[in-house]
Amino acid sequence: MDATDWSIIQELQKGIPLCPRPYREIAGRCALEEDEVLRRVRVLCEEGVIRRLGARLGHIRAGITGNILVAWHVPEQDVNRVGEALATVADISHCYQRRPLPDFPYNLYTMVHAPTPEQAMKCVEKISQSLAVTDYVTLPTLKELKKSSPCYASPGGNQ
Amino acid sequence: MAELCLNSLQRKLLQIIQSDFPIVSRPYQELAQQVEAREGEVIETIRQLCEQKVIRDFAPVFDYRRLGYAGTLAAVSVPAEQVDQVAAVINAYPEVTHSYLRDHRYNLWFTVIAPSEEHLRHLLTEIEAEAGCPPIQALPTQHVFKINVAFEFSQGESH
Repeated sequence: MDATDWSIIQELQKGIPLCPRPYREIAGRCALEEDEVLRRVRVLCEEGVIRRLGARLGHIRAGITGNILVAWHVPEQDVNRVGEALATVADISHCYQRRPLPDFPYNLYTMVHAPTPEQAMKCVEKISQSLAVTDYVTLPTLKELKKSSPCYASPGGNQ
Repeated sequence: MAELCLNSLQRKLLQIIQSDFPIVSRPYQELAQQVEAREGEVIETIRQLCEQKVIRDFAPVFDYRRLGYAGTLAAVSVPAEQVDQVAAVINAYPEVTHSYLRDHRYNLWFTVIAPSEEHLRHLLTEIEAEAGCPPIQALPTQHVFKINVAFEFSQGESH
């Protein structure tokens, strides 16, 4: 990534312009040609720098009251097998391996989604049974306190 | 309730633009062909979804690691009477992107990103000192098994 990529990233993270030629709009702000912006955005997507290009949803997911964070404790040698199995569950949107704490031994974290909290708990029990992982803790959200999009700055400062 | 009252055009558009906003000169025209609408209608619909906060942010999701950033999930166990004050300190940091109050001894959970590992460590120490809270536990990701899958909209009208 070079300074030109960063200038495009800076503009893109302000939001995709809502006009017929948004990439030309971005190009204009970066003093580039539209084709150059299109080419670079494609590369940023292909290389995985941009994970998803488009809309982040707001209260649609938040409106589903059955979202629940579940932390699972799995023996170290089973982490990959169980992590991959959890990843295939349709009701799970995220599955991460995380470093356990001395007083919190859980090493796999998942977000489980269902229309209601009761259905989410049922879903968690089902997953626990089918994968034979019985040591887990559910971490229901009492309140969402903050949700914002990160703002990235180029390491060399903004141009 | 969960999916609000979205019409068929809104659902189709949201399904596509969650991850696949076209990288072409006239992306809204291409979307218009996919959903059988007019370009202007597509732009106006997305604008309204942004205004209604159904779309929280119409901008790319970046892989923070690929941008050279460091990040972690963090948890802290805060006495009930201190929660509001500690949460206010945590949430005031722009580097903190999400935070939640959870039903567990570890009751405050947040995600944080910073331009380097060192910056991230300093930040957590700084928050701890400023909030006067018990040690903040970092739970860094060791492996991603599944991430941020697009929300599945049932197609058609719902009321």
